Amino acid sequence: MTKDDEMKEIDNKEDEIEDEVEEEEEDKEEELEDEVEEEDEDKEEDKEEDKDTKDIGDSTATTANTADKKKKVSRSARSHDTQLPIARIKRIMKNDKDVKLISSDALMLVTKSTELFLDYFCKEAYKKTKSQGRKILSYKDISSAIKDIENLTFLTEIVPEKITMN
Amino acid sequence: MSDSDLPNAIVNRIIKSSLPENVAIAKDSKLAISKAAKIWIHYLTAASIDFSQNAGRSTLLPKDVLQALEELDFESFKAPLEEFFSNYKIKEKEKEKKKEEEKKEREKENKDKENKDKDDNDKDDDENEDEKNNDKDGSDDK
Repeated sequence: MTKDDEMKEIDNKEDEIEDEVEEEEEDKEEELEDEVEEEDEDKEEDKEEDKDTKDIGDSTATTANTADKKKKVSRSARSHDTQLPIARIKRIMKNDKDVKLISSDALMLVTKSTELFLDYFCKEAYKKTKSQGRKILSYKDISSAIKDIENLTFLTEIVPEKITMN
Repeated sequence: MSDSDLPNAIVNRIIKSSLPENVAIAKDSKLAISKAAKIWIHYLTAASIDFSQNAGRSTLLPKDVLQALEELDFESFKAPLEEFFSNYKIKEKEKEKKKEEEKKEREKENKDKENKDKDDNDKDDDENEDEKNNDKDGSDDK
Protein backbone atom coordinates (compact mmCIF):
# COMPACT_ATOMS: atom_id res chain seq x y z
CA MET A 1 0.00 0.00 0.00
CA THR A 2 1.39 3.41 -0.94
CA LYS A 3 1.68 6.32 1.46
CA ASP A 4 -1.04 8.12 -0.42
CA ASP A 5 -3.47 5.30 0.19
CA GLU A 6 -2.61 5.14 3.87
CA MET A 7 -3.29 8.84 4.20
CA LYS A 8 -6.65 8.40 2.54
CA GLU A 9 -7.59 5.62 4.93
CA ILE A 10 -6.70 7.79 7.89
CA ASP A 11 -8.76 10.57 6.37
CA ASN A 12 -11.71 8.26 6.05
CA LYS A 13 -11.47 7.14 9.65
CA GLU A 14 -11.42 10.73 10.82
CA ASP A 15 -14.44 11.37 8.66
CA GLU A 16 -16.30 8.55 10.29
CA ILE A 17 -15.78 9.99 13.76
CA GLU A 18 -16.83 13.45 12.59
CA ASP A 19 -19.83 12.01 10.85
CA GLU A 20 -21.11 10.21 13.88
CA VAL A 21 -21.25 13.44 15.83
CA GLU A 22 -22.62 15.33 12.85
CA GLU A 23 -25.19 12.65 12.22
CA GLU A 24 -26.76 13.09 15.61
CA GLU A 25 -26.86 16.85 15.23
CA GLU A 26 -28.35 16.62 11.75
CA ASP A 27 -31.00 14.20 12.83
CA LYS A 28 -32.02 16.42 15.70
CA GLU A 29 -32.08 19.49 13.49
CA GLU A 30 -34.23 17.88 10.85
CA GLU A 31 -36.53 16.33 13.38
CA LEU A 32 -37.06 19.75 14.90
CA GLU A 33 -37.85 21.30 11.53
CA ASP A 34 -40.37 18.62 10.79
CA GLU A 35 -41.96 18.59 14.19
CA VAL A 36 -42.20 22.28 14.96
CA GLU A 37 -45.64 22.68 13.46
CA GLU A 38 -47.06 19.58 15.07
CA GLU A 39 -45.58 20.39 18.44
CA ASP A 40 -47.09 23.84 18.36
CA GLU A 41 -50.48 22.31 17.80
CA ASP A 42 -49.91 19.81 20.56
CA LYS A 43 -48.83 22.52 22.97
CA GLU A 44 -51.93 24.54 22.30
CA GLU A 45 -54.07 21.53 22.93
CA ASP A 46 -52.16 20.76 26.11
CA LYS A 47 -52.66 24.30 27.34
CA GLU A 48 -56.37 24.08 26.76
CA GLU A 49 -56.48 20.82 28.60
CA ASP A 50 -54.60 22.37 31.50
CA LYS A 51 -57.09 25.20 31.74
CA ASP A 52 -59.99 22.82 31.73
CA THR A 53 -58.61 20.56 34.37
CA LYS A 54 -56.70 22.66 36.86
CA ASP A 55 -58.84 21.27 39.64
CA ILE A 56 -58.17 17.62 38.93
CA GLY A 57 -54.40 17.16 39.22
CA ASP A 58 -54.24 13.38 39.02
CA SER A 59 -56.08 12.90 35.76
CA THR A 60 -54.13 15.62 33.86
CA ALA A 61 -50.86 13.97 34.83
CA THR A 62 -51.95 10.67 33.34
CA THR A 63 -53.27 12.19 30.11
CA ALA A 64 -50.01 14.13 29.66
CA ASN A 65 -48.05 10.91 30.01
CA THR A 66 -50.06 9.07 27.40
CA ALA A 67 -49.75 12.01 25.01
CA ASP A 68 -45.96 11.94 25.39
CA LYS A 69 -45.87 8.25 24.61
CA LYS A 70 -47.97 8.71 21.51
CA LYS A 71 -45.66 11.46 20.25
CA LYS A 72 -42.61 9.24 20.60
CA VAL A 73 -44.26 6.45 18.68
CA SER A 74 -45.25 8.68 15.77
CA ARG A 75 -41.71 10.07 15.53
CA SER A 76 -39.98 6.73 15.30
CA ALA A 77 -42.53 5.48 12.77
CA ARG A 78 -41.95 8.46 10.53
CA SER A 79 -38.16 8.21 10.45
CA HIS A 80 -38.30 4.78 8.80
CA ASP A 81 -39.90 6.03 5.59
CA THR A 82 -36.88 7.73 4.06
CA GLN A 83 -33.32 8.22 5.17
CA LEU A 84 -32.91 11.69 3.70
CA PRO A 85 -34.66 14.58 5.44
CA ILE A 86 -37.81 15.56 3.56
CA ALA A 87 -37.68 19.19 4.67
CA ARG A 88 -34.22 19.59 3.16
CA ILE A 89 -35.24 18.06 -0.16
CA LYS A 90 -38.20 20.41 -0.32
CA ARG A 91 -35.95 23.39 0.29
CA ILE A 92 -33.64 22.32 -2.54
CA MET A 93 -36.62 21.83 -4.87
CA LYS A 94 -38.01 25.25 -3.96
CA ASN A 95 -34.77 26.83 -5.18
CA ASP A 96 -36.15 26.26 -8.67
CA LYS A 97 -38.14 29.35 -9.56
CA ASP A 98 -40.65 27.38 -11.63
CA VAL A 99 -41.73 25.32 -8.62
CA LYS A 100 -45.02 26.54 -7.24
CA LEU A 101 -46.65 23.79 -5.20
CA ILE A 102 -45.37 20.31 -4.44
CA SER A 103 -47.77 17.59 -3.35
CA SER A 104 -46.44 15.71 -0.33
CA ASP A 105 -46.60 12.45 -2.27
CA ALA A 106 -44.47 13.89 -5.07
CA LEU A 107 -42.00 15.15 -2.49
CA MET A 108 -41.85 11.68 -1.01
CA LEU A 109 -41.09 10.22 -4.45
CA VAL A 110 -38.33 12.74 -5.16
CA THR A 111 -36.76 12.01 -1.77
CA LYS A 112 -36.84 8.28 -2.30
CA SER A 113 -35.60 8.57 -5.89
CA THR A 114 -32.64 10.59 -4.63
CA GLU A 115 -31.76 7.71 -2.35
CA LEU A 116 -32.05 5.32 -5.28
CA PHE A 117 -29.93 7.65 -7.39
CA LEU A 118 -27.19 7.76 -4.75
CA ASP A 119 -27.16 3.99 -4.59
CA TYR A 120 -27.09 3.63 -8.39
CA PHE A 121 -24.42 6.28 -8.85
CA CYS A 122 -22.10 4.78 -6.22
CA LYS A 123 -22.43 1.31 -7.69
CA GLU A 124 -21.63 2.55 -11.21
CA ALA A 125 -18.58 4.43 -9.92
CA TYR A 126 -17.47 1.39 -7.94
CA LYS A 127 -17.56 -0.70 -11.12
CA LYS A 128 -14.79 1.58 -12.41
CA THR A 129 -12.80 1.18 -9.20
CA LYS A 130 -13.15 -2.57 -9.37
CA SER A 131 -12.18 -2.83 -13.03
CA GLN A 132 -8.86 -1.22 -12.17
CA GLY A 133 -8.26 -3.44 -9.16
CA ARG A 134 -8.26 -0.61 -6.63
CA LYS A 135 -9.96 -0.47 -3.26
CA ILE A 136 -10.53 3.26 -2.88
CA LEU A 137 -13.33 4.92 -4.79
CA SER A 138 -11.59 7.96 -6.24
CA TYR A 139 -12.81 11.06 -8.01
CA LYS A 140 -11.53 9.62 -11.28
CA ASP A 141 -13.94 6.71 -11.01
CA ILE A 142 -16.86 9.06 -10.59
CA SER A 143 -15.96 11.31 -13.50
CA SER A 144 -15.31 8.37 -15.81
CA ALA A 145 -18.64 6.78 -14.83
CA ILE A 146 -20.36 10.03 -15.74
CA LYS A 147 -18.50 10.18 -19.03
CA ASP A 148 -19.34 6.60 -20.02
CA ILE A 149 -22.92 6.14 -18.85
CA GLU A 150 -25.52 7.82 -20.96
CA ASN A 151 -28.14 8.76 -18.38
CA LEU A 152 -25.52 10.37 -16.13
CA THR A 153 -24.33 12.87 -18.73
CA PHE A 154 -26.31 15.65 -17.03
CA LEU A 155 -23.55 15.67 -14.40
CA THR A 156 -20.62 16.33 -16.75
CA GLU A 157 -20.50 20.01 -15.87
CA ILE A 158 -20.78 19.43 -12.14
CA VAL A 159 -18.12 16.73 -11.95
CA PRO A 160 -15.55 17.61 -14.63
CA GLU A 161 -12.65 15.34 -15.43
CA LYS A 162 -9.45 16.18 -13.66
CA ILE A 163 -6.81 17.65 -15.95
CA THR A 164 -3.16 17.18 -15.11
CA MET A 165 -0.84 19.97 -16.17
CA ASN A 166 2.47 18.91 -17.64
CA MET B 1 -30.27 32.68 -0.40
CA SER B 2 -27.58 30.16 -1.09
CA ASP B 3 -28.49 26.66 -2.16
CA SER B 4 -28.64 24.31 0.81
CA ASP B 5 -26.72 21.06 0.65
CA LEU B 6 -27.76 17.57 1.57
CA PRO B 7 -26.71 16.43 5.06
CA ASN B 8 -23.26 14.85 4.73
CA ALA B 9 -23.71 12.28 7.45
CA ILE B 10 -26.82 10.76 5.91
CA VAL B 11 -25.38 10.84 2.39
CA ASN B 12 -22.23 9.10 3.63
CA ARG B 13 -24.35 6.46 5.32
CA ILE B 14 -26.18 5.76 2.06
CA ILE B 15 -22.92 5.66 0.10
CA LYS B 16 -21.42 3.17 2.54
CA SER B 17 -24.47 0.95 2.52
CA SER B 18 -24.41 0.73 -1.30
CA LEU B 19 -20.75 -0.31 -1.51
CA PRO B 20 -19.04 -3.50 -0.31
CA GLU B 21 -17.58 -3.23 3.18
CA ASN B 22 -13.89 -3.29 2.29
CA VAL B 23 -14.11 -0.30 -0.05
CA ALA B 24 -12.90 3.11 1.09
CA ILE B 25 -14.11 6.38 -0.36
CA ALA B 26 -11.86 9.37 -0.98
CA LYS B 27 -12.96 12.65 0.53
CA ASP B 28 -13.38 14.43 -2.82
CA SER B 29 -15.45 11.50 -4.07
CA LYS B 30 -17.90 11.92 -1.21
CA LEU B 31 -18.22 15.60 -1.97
CA ALA B 32 -18.73 14.93 -5.68
CA ILE B 33 -21.39 12.30 -4.99
CA SER B 34 -23.25 14.60 -2.59
CA LYS B 35 -23.17 17.48 -5.08
CA ALA B 36 -24.32 15.14 -7.83
CA ALA B 37 -27.30 14.08 -5.73
CA LYS B 38 -28.28 17.70 -5.25
CA ILE B 39 -28.07 18.34 -8.98
CA TRP B 40 -30.16 15.21 -9.46
CA ILE B 41 -32.93 16.74 -7.35
CA HIS B 42 -32.86 19.90 -9.46
CA TYR B 43 -32.73 17.88 -12.68
CA LEU B 44 -35.64 15.65 -11.72
CA THR B 45 -37.65 18.58 -10.40
CA ALA B 46 -37.20 20.58 -13.59
CA ALA B 47 -38.23 17.63 -15.75
CA SER B 48 -41.26 16.94 -13.53
CA ILE B 49 -42.36 20.56 -13.71
CA ASP B 50 -42.41 20.38 -17.50
CA PHE B 51 -45.01 17.65 -17.24
CA SER B 52 -47.16 19.48 -14.70
CA GLN B 53 -47.01 22.70 -16.75
CA ASN B 54 -47.94 20.87 -19.94
CA ALA B 55 -51.00 19.57 -18.12
CA GLY B 56 -51.84 23.11 -16.95
CA ARG B 57 -51.30 22.37 -13.29
CA SER B 58 -49.34 24.43 -10.77
CA THR B 59 -48.93 21.52 -8.34
CA LEU B 60 -46.28 18.88 -8.77
CA LEU B 61 -47.89 15.43 -8.56
CA PRO B 62 -46.43 11.93 -8.19
CA LYS B 63 -47.29 11.04 -11.78
CA ASP B 64 -45.20 13.98 -13.02
CA VAL B 65 -42.20 12.63 -11.15
CA LEU B 66 -42.72 9.13 -12.55
CA GLN B 67 -43.08 10.46 -16.10
CA ALA B 68 -39.96 12.56 -15.63
CA LEU B 69 -37.98 9.52 -14.50
CA GLU B 70 -38.96 7.79 -17.70
CA GLU B 71 -37.96 10.73 -19.84
CA LEU B 72 -34.59 11.06 -18.12
CA ASP B 73 -33.83 7.42 -18.91
CA PHE B 74 -34.12 6.17 -15.33
CA GLU B 75 -36.91 3.65 -15.86
CA SER B 76 -35.08 1.25 -13.56
CA PHE B 77 -36.08 3.46 -10.61
CA LYS B 78 -39.77 3.20 -11.33
CA ALA B 79 -40.43 -0.30 -10.04
CA PRO B 80 -38.74 0.14 -6.63
CA LEU B 81 -40.28 3.61 -6.32
CA GLU B 82 -43.79 2.39 -6.99
CA GLU B 83 -43.33 -0.42 -4.51
CA PHE B 84 -42.07 2.03 -1.90
CA PHE B 85 -44.94 4.38 -2.68
CA SER B 86 -47.67 1.80 -2.21
CA ASN B 87 -46.09 0.70 1.09
CA TYR B 88 -45.92 4.33 2.13
CA LYS B 89 -49.59 4.84 1.28
CA ILE B 90 -50.60 1.86 3.38
CA LYS B 91 -48.61 3.24 6.30
CA GLU B 92 -50.23 6.65 5.85
CA LYS B 93 -53.70 5.14 6.03
CA GLU B 94 -52.82 3.30 9.22
CA LYS B 95 -51.48 6.52 10.70
CA GLU B 96 -54.67 8.38 9.79
CA LYS B 97 -56.75 5.70 11.45
CA LYS B 98 -54.63 5.96 14.59
CA LYS B 99 -54.93 9.74 14.60
CA GLU B 100 -58.70 9.55 14.32
CA GLU B 101 -58.83 7.10 17.19
CA GLU B 102 -56.66 9.41 19.26
CA LYS B 103 -58.95 12.32 18.45
CA LYS B 104 -61.99 10.37 19.53
CA GLU B 105 -60.27 9.41 22.76
CA ARG B 106 -59.39 13.04 23.41
CA GLU B 107 -62.92 14.18 22.73
CA LYS B 108 -64.21 11.59 25.15
CA GLU B 109 -61.77 12.72 27.81
CA ASN B 110 -62.72 16.35 27.27
CA LYS B 111 -66.40 15.52 27.55
CA ASP B 112 -65.80 13.67 30.79
CA LYS B 113 -63.94 16.65 32.13
CA GLU B 114 -66.67 19.08 31.09
CA ASN B 115 -69.21 16.98 32.90
CA LYS B 116 -67.04 16.97 35.99
CA ASP B 117 -66.63 20.73 35.87
CA LYS B 118 -70.39 21.20 35.62
CA ASP B 119 -70.92 18.94 38.59
CA ASP B 120 -68.28 20.81 40.56
CA ASN B 121 -69.92 24.14 39.90
CA ASP B 122 -73.27 22.90 41.11
CA LYS B 123 -71.94 21.89 44.51
CA ASP B 124 -71.12 24.17 47.44
CA ASP B 125 -67.45 24.84 48.21
CA ASP B 126 -67.57 22.91 51.46
CA GLU B 127 -68.85 19.79 49.78
CA ASN B 128 -66.41 19.95 46.84
CA GLU B 129 -63.82 17.46 48.08
CA ASP B 130 -66.32 14.75 48.79
CA GLU B 131 -67.99 15.26 45.42
CA LYS B 132 -64.70 15.01 43.54
CA ASN B 133 -64.10 11.54 44.90
CA ASN B 134 -67.56 10.52 43.84
CA ASP B 135 -66.93 11.90 40.35
CA LYS B 136 -63.76 9.92 39.99
CA ASP B 137 -65.58 6.75 40.88
CA GLY B 138 -68.23 7.64 38.35
CA SER B 139 -65.75 8.28 35.53
CA ASP B 140 -64.03 4.96 36.17
CA ASP B 141 -67.29 3.17 35.57
CA LYS B 142 -67.65 4.82 32.18
